Amino acid sequence: MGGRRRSAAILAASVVAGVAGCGNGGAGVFHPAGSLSAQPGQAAPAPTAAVQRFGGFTFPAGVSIDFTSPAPADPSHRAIVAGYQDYVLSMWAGVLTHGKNTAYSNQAEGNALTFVTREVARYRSPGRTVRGTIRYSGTKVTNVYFGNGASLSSCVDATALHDVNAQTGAKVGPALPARPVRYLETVSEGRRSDGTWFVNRSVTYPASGAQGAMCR
Amino acid sequence: MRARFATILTLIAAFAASAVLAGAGGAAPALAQGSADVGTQAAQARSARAGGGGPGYLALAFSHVSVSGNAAASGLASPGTYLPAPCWLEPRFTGGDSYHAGDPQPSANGDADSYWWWFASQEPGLYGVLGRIPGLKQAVNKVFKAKQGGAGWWWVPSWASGGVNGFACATGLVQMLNFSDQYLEFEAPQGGGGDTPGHQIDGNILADIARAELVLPTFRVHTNPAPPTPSDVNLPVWVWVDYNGARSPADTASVPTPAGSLWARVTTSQPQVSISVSSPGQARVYNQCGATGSPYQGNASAIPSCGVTFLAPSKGYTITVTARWTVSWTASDSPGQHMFASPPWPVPVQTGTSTVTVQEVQSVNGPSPGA
Repeated sequence: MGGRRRSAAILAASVVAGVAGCGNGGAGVFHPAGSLSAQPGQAAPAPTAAVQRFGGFTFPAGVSIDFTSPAPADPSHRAIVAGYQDYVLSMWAGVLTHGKNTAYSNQAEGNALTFVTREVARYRSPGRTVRGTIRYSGTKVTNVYFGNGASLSSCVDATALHDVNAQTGAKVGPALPARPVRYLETVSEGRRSDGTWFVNRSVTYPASGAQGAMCR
Repeated sequence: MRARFATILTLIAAFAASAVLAGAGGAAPALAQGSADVGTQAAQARSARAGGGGPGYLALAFSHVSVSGNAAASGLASPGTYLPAPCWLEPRFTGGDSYHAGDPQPSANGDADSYWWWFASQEPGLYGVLGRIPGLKQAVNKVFKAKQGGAGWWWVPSWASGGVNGFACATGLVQMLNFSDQYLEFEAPQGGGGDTPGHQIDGNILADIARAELVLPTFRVHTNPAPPTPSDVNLPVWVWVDYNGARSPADTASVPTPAGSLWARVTTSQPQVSISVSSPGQARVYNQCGATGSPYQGNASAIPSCGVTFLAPSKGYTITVTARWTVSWTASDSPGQHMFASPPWPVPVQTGTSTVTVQEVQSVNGPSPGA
């Protein structure tokens, strides 16, 4: 294969892909390397403490999206984990803005986007929101394919995140009623030409089952 | 031919890029189908062929690979399944399925044009951008339309659809190939297998699929005496097994190619049975078990080649029976027998257990005659 010919194709397609990525807040997007909220067992941060952000969105007090795994030492793995965290944060930004923040549409595709879209729609009404803490732990890159595709797994603990009445704060139910409160999430990711990663498949396994047992 | 096709797609991509850069993004969307809808339909994997002597197309997306014999699709569905190549390039569409009127179709299974657009929809936002570029849809369709009815085949990424690894692999393959050069070819991509660009299906990949789907038979453990009848101290317990299914299972994965059927056959040795006990210090184990152990022959005091003599009483000794196989493969493009090493492949074993109660022999010495 002619290297020049291939380079031309890559260059051209990269431009298209790069344009497609515009508007996802790539610059300045929050890539957490650890929890911004209190660690388990610690007091909740004061309002003046570190504020959790995703792009231009600031997470409200009373909501913590905790990523408790240390960032991988390998930069390429770190970028893959960041893609997953952006996917997670974009979903919760969509939920907490009642669908106004649509950054998730640039972080997810396939059944991952279907899931996020459904959860955001669940909180479309201004009378409903979420409060509490959801924890993502044991996050690790399980495979990298051709340097441009990857699979990642993470344990999700949503026992302390609730669907609440936005006015009274009264608990209505679990924040993610379609999923168990503890589960293993595995995702497929792809790498954009600008080096950022997106999620295009998600498969979950309840922690109560054999395949999700590592998340008990 | 490949060079020409690549050039055409390069031109399309360049055209698309220039159109976007020229500020054409405000044009009305040219594509009717939303990416989520297209993706939902196209992502459906083949379901198992019903009935017959074994599963057919199994848990593979956009693939014509079929697996027959002692195989189960669930072998690919487990997240722990080891499959070194969960995706590959495969001759999926004939020239007769290059393009159909109205492309892209909602289902990507129908033709090469629809497949190309479906995969473009798997990167967030890209499908929408492409859809806003005036003339792009027509330009892409023109490439496929020109091949309609041709004698070649389109090679496309296929993958194992259980879990996320297969699709992650296919995504990596397509992203690496940048939606253009080599991503969708009208002739076989470059060879090399493994992780080399192109990554076309070969006998080795087919063998891996067949190995992952291979079902080793379970078995039932028999003993004599059979529970709940207790055995006696110093009396041999005979041990043998009945297999549920083929004792030496085998399966074959095959795929049609322009050059004819490509296939790989996975075979297993006769099983080698061995036994162990929960209290080895209180037992003599006879471990010449062969494939089936030692079915009881009617002589309770004879020493079996496969069995155990317990030296002390117990209300429950556990006898664990393990059957081990060696697994090898051959393929139409790779003659000879090749082994699957463990690790990385799972060790090909099955186990079963039986619990045996052992009692002290009660000898009754009656009065001797004439006493």
